Amino acid sequence: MKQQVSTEHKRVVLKRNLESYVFMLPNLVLFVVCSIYPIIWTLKYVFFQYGGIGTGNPKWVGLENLARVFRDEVYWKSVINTFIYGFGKVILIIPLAFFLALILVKQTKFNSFAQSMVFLPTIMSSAVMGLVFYLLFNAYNGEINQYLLNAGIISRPINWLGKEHAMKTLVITAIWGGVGNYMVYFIAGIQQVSKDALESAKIDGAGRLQTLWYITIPMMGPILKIILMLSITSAFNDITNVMVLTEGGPNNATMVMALYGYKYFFPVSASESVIPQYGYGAAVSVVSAVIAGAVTVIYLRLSRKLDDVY
Amino acid sequence: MKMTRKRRLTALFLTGAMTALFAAGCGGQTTGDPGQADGGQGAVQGTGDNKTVIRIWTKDRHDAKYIQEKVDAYNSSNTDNIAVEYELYTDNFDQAVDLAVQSGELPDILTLNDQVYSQYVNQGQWLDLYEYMDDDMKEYFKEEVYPGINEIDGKLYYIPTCGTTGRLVYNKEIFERVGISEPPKTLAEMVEDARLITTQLSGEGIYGFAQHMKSASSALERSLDLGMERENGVKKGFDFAKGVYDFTGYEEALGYWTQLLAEDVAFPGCESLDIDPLRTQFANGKIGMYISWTHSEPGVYREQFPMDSSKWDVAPIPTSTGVESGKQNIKFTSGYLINAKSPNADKAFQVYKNIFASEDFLVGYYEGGYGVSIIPQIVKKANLNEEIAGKTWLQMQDIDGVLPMTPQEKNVQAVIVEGEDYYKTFESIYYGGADAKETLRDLTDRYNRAYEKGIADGVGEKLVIEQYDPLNA
Amino acid sequence: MEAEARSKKGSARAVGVCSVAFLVVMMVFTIYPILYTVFGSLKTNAELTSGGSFFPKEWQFQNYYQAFIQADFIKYTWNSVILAVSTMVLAVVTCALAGFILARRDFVGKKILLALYTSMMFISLGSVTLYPIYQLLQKLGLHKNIAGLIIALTGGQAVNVLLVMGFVKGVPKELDEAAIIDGCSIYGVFGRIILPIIKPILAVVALFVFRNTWNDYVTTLIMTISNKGMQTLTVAVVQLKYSVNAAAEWHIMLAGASIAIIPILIVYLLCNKQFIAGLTAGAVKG
Repeated sequence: MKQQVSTEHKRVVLKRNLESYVFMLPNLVLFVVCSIYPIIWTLKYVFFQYGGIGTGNPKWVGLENLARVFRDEVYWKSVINTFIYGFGKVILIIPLAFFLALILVKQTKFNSFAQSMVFLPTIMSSAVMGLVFYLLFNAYNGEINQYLLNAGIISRPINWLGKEHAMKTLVITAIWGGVGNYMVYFIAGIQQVSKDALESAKIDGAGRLQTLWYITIPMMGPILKIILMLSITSAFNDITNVMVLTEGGPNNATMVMALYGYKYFFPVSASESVIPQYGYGAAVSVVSAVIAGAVTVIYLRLSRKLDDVY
Repeated sequence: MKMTRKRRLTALFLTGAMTALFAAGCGGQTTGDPGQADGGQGAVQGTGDNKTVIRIWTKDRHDAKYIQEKVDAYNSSNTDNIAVEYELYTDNFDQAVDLAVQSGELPDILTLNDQVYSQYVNQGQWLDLYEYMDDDMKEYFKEEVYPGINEIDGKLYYIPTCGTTGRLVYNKEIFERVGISEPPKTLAEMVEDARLITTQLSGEGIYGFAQHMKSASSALERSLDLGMERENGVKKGFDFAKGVYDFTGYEEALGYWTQLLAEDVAFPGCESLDIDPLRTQFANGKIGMYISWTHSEPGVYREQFPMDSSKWDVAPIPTSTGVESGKQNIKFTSGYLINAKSPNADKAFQVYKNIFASEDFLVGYYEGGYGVSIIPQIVKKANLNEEIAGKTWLQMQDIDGVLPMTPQEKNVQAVIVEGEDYYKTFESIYYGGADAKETLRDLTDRYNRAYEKGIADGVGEKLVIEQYDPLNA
Repeated sequence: MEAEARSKKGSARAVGVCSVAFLVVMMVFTIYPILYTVFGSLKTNAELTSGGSFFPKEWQFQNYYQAFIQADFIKYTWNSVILAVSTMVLAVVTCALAGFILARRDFVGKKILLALYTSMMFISLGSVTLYPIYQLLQKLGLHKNIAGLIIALTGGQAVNVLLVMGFVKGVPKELDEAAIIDGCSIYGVFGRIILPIIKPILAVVALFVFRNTWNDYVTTLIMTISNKGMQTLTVAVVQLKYSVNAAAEWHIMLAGASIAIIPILIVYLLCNKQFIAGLTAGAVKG
């Protein structure tokens, strides 16, 4: 009798598990193929030298690839560039998005129209728009320079994609593509600021700016944390924009770490050919992933500390 | 009861939808996917009347129209029941070939591409043409056999029919306007002339010098590389006589390049310029001079960006010294590789022979200005169009020759250099202000280390050519 | 007192003027490149490259004809539509199923799976993973098939699975239990009870997956490198930049860019509320 119950129980458990996996399976297959397998593959090839089919078998090199990453000056330049890009973007985009949110938070017809206009770039393909920006920022006949020249603001075309300005141009396009996103987050955040707090501030005779400074901004804390988190992770992963607009150049001025790993696997532009170094590329990517992961974790720790302060 | 059925149906539909998707994933050929119907594969299956389809991949667009006409003519006239498909793969050609090799889907014939050729030549990927060539054909092309390059261990893998090399392209009108009587011979003169043009005419948007520096390799391969071969007999940094890499000799030339690319001389935005935008600006008369390949420019200014042929000319690439210490390499264009692993390799050879190796085709190709023939019989036979005939330096001259291949050209995997390749490293000198001496010494070290490592690993071989004479390679 | 009020009014007006000016500048900044694309696509190449007025002098509608016919954009458009729709369907179905079961059932290996899915938000190897994915698809014989591309573009969807899971957790369990007492199986609970309730979040997932697939460049580029027949609009447009005629065909490039952005623009005009709402849903939950 007892045995019967337990086999019955086993049968039920088995059935429940099977059922569960019926639900999981479709996604799980995709997850394994597109997320888990590539990670294992990459981790494996960190220890090999391999140039692809037709170049001999992968050769075990131990930690050599990793050691080479640490010697590779261009790689570390790309890490620094990634941080410059990320910080440049965050520092500009957050105030811009915040002010937009402040202005547009009230639900009026015009505001919702303005909101959708500002939000519009975020639905555009950054690759296609990268191409458009490439035409716009062209030094010799891009429209931006032509406007500036015609308006007499500059006398010689600005070399927007040249070594001095390329990074700035990249940040401008990143702001273009992202400001709408962050504005929407901020609007959601401002709407969460309790009406009571605002009312009582008004009764106390606080001016607009005072309310903003003492009530609204401090209460942005939680949403700001999410925004920062998102902008940090996205800054590490933006490569389409860089690829199409500057291809990492000139002289690696806009080479970011994600693109640096990529270029050992695939050509960065169609006019460039690549000598595949899958092992080294894997090592670069793994180190980059560790850097990105570490920054994220440190940020999470810090923001938790910030919680204690508030 | 009804309810449960409906529930079941919903669940069934969902799982059904999913499995359908996955089934489509496995047997998708039947789903009539539109992408494939137009792609090569689809068309292969689509030709109903049992013709053998020979697929050709090309990376060249400049001659695509000419070749397509010849292919169409062949398709409608051939009696071997062969249908040739000519497919353009202008971008990412190397990568496309790599992936196709991996999956065993390489087409039957490919246009020659140095890297692709070298990478797979030792794997038996390319057909030994000698196997199929009759004696007449061997005799006809005997001048085009270069041991160590296209003939390896007695096997011939391709026949180069055209070659190209770099020249200084200049706008005669602009030169006249500022009073330059003849094109510069040394880099110092070149800097001076370019600066003169920029100083005098930049108000009109005209600049002395431009080069498409966005891709350092693409720009320097056709300019600095060739200049250095004549300047000190070193090819792509490799010294054949000593059998080592040595970039230290590039210092002087790079110094001039830095000046050429400086803001007071160069066309604005060279750093992010591609070759075609450069050409449009040259055609618009905005650029005094630039350096490019001989085979492409005539066609470009006749068809793509029309420019009066009398307005421009070409001259040898200036060097630091102006003294000829070596020949500059002729790079083969227009060669064809046949996939030895294709089940229709014999028919592919037929196609190759009947279309691309026919005298009619080769003469027309040269006359049409799509490439500069290196086959003496063709050169003799062709009625050169005025453009090429009138510009002596568009043709091959004494300063040009076929140089041996460097270790890296022979096998890219034999010289895996740590850090940036030499083109990118040069970029750090002319754009990044890096110390030239130091950088070049380090570069030389890195290349030699990689070269020796390749030898030690058994991937590459030591290459020394005894008594190498760069002027008579 | 009055003076103070007046000055307050004055400063309020100053703030108002500044806000409006700021808003106008930002709106011009965000819309200008899009208008440039659309109007530029109707100019001649000469007008584009020599710089002229903002609006085309003469509207060159044949640019679109050229893009569609000569540059093969009909095919690319079709590919884009097929891919975006199938990826969207696959993603929604798989996320709904997985998100639901993760929220409702305990099963062997669930903890590990959850940990793996969550850690995907912190581990990013970037696009280099496309190489092993391509190789794997090749071994499965899917690399030349549109299904392979759909798989690669759909991917693990870890974030969306967690998003759906969070949403399902917000649905009271009593509803399930009642249904089970009524004789529903787990499939029934999913289909009858949960699915209708989680429609809003699935709509968000659908919208974003559609947008991402439509706009994707790198994945599609790599997966179609040796099979151009499968290229999408986005890839085809950007590749025009490298084509030999690129410099002479700015108008075609912009026409292509317009063709690529107009459909997503229409989707946006129809559901911009959902886009904006979906974004906050994703942010707050994710």
